Amino acid sequence: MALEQYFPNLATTGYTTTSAATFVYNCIAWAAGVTDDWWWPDPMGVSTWPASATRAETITAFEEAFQSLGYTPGADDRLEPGFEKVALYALGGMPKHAARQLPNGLWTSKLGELEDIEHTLEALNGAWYGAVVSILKRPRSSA
Amino acid sequence: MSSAMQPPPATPNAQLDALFQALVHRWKEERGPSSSTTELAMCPSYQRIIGLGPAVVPLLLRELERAPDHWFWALKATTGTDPVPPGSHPKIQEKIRLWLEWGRQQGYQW
Repeated sequence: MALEQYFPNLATTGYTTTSAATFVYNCIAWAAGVTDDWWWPDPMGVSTWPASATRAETITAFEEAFQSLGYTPGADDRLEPGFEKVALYALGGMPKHAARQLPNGLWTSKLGELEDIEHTLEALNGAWYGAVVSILKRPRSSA
Repeated sequence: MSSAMQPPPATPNAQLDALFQALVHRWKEERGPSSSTTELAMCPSYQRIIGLGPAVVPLLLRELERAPDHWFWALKATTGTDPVPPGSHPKIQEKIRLWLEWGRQQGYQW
């Protein structure tokens, strides 16, 4: 299925596919800079989650996961030289997705088991991921 | 690590195999672009696979070997065990290796 069928905004905002699909990593891992593991705080305990973050499917727990990597909540979506940002999407209060800002101001996302793409932040708003509910940032030098 | 709940079947039967393949195919459509392990496992077809019970374990192990995907939840649910040592944090490829090794040790054939 074409990505535009999941995310209709992509048809108007445009996007660039930057990798092939893979089951190995997901959006949370990709936003964290990890490409060999799948991060999610599932209750069955089968996916990886940072030890210092609460293992719960809440926005707070996802913020804790990125705080464990040096990010601080409360940022906005502007491009700030020297800072790296991560945006958390949620739907009905449930975390659904994370995207990481690139030095060019666009955002990079791994779409579940599908491809990585570069996109605008609002391009992924909709029925699958909801909308951005939190943005965190850290100095790019600490990456 | 606990052992399997019952002796493993020697070979999966063809009818079960066909149903399993159909459910796998349907699951890959249902999950869409979700990154949530919980959502992947709660898809109706994934739940039906779990509902097939211990007989589906060799099919899950075969699928994990030849077309790796997120079968850890289903394996844990249908076997009642987890070969990942408590307190360890293996990455996804290592989890696959641990499950396949466990399956062979238990005598599953796929």
